[in-house]
Amino acid sequence: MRNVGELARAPILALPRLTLRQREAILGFVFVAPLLIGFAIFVGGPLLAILYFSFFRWNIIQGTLTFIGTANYERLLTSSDVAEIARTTFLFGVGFVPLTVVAGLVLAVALNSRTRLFIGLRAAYFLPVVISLAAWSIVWRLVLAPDGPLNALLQLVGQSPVAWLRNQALALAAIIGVQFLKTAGYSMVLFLAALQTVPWDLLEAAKVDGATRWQSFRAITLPLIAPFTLMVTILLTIASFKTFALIQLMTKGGPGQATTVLAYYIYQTGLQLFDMGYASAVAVVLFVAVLTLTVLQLAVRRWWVFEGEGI
Amino acid sequence: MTSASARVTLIAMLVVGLVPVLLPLVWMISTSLKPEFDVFAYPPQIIPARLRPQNYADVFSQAPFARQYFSSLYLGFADVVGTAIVASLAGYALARLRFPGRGLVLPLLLSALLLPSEILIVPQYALFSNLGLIGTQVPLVLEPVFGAPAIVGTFLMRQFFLSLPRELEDAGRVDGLGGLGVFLRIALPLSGPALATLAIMTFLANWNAYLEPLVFTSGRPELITLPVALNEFTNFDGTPQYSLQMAATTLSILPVALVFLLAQRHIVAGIARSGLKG
Repeated sequence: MRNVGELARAPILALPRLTLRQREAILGFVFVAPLLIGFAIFVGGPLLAILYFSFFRWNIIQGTLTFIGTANYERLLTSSDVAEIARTTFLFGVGFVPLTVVAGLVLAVALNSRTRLFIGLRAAYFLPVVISLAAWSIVWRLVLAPDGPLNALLQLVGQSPVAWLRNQALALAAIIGVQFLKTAGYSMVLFLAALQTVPWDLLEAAKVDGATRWQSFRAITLPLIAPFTLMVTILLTIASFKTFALIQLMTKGGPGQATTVLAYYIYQTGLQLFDMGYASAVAVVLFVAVLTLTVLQLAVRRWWVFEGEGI
Repeated sequence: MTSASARVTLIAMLVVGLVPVLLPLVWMISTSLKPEFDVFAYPPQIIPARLRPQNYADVFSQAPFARQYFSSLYLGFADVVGTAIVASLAGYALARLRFPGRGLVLPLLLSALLLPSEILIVPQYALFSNLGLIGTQVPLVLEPVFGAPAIVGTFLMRQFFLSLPRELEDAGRVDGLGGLGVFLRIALPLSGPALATLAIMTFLANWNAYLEPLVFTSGRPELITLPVALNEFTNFDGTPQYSLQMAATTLSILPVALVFLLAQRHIVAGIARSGLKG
């Protein structure tokens, strides 16, 4: 009976007459298919959709969808609001990225030792990274409240209280600071991993030759970890755009528009006002900005990064 | 300066640097135990003058907080299971199986990690709205399983499978296993450590997500997850009820802090690996 069964099935199984190589390729396609199909639906499709819908007046609540050519882009480029928001986005990045890169590097160098105390300190600096940005923002909203603990401390030492989140000039600096404190540990961990790639014997040799710590840091460590520094800079630049919870919970983009960044503006226009075509156009602009920035940073690699040929 | 005193100075500076990192969390716990009336008392009380542990009970009676907590938990687990399946399959294919176009897949996926999620949120909202899924939790399972966390996970799994000795799989083939058998019987059972890292990273990303649950659930109290729920404790005029918010926030941070203490190594390795070798 068993033989008969196998005989009956054999031609069907053998039908495709596949080589081993073809079988492997088919299995490969099947294995990546779930991810690629899901990716196409939830990421690729939406990415093409913003480009398409940016040429429409689109409101899903009212059910309107009208082709309006480049009107959304014209509106965006001539709006003084958008100019201010783009400037705020830029300032946020300029304030946040270099500060966090440098702090992460300094912390990593300072804590690059495997004693129990230092491992504990590392964990403490890293703790905010695992806490949600929402929780972190809510805690800091209390800390920075007009009668909050930070102002109380200032009063205790004889200073006058500061309206951290209600002052046009200070609010942006305050949220940069809050995002910085959340992210410094992330930057530190990336740099700690980078430091492990610096060969110990090189540093030892420099020490024997009488180099100071600072000299060998400048001449050996810094050039060797340059590719990682670039990577950290790119990752933090991306992180500098991911501030939704921070802004929504701490300032709602205010006072006025002082802390409205492009990503938050997309939410406001697209999902609060349901001006979805216009929000799509803003998203396209942000996408182009992120892409340009990343390509630029990678181009920097050519003249900045030590490629490792001939020491 | 002697090296011993340099070391003491360094440690002192590192401890001072921790003040703005840890003091807010101490203040959070302290506030969570105060009556609302004492939250802004002057001089500030780091140890509450009057204790009100009742705040923690109020959190559960004033809002469907238990339900929101449970939502965060099961959505996290669903996301971990989905991501583990999708990412280990794709990661294995990218590491071990030769198929046309393989070289294009990873750059395509990784470049998507550059995108802030706000860029895609409007068309994603429209997509889920057309499917009738806005105001449900379905998008909160679907979107992350195929979005950024899955890509990070795929990359992690690929790196792991690349590091497996090929001989193990060859031995399986000699024993008559096919491609699928090699994956299921040999590669997958060995990938426990990588799957643990993936599970922790995915769970954390899900536990901490804010924009997607806010938007896709339409903010309905019985559907939202913890990060969105924290802000719901307000007075009638919409101003925060700080003591309750801090109690809820403390409760939301607690499991993360515990997981962090227990699995620090996995988390740090996962972040360093997925970040730097990208």
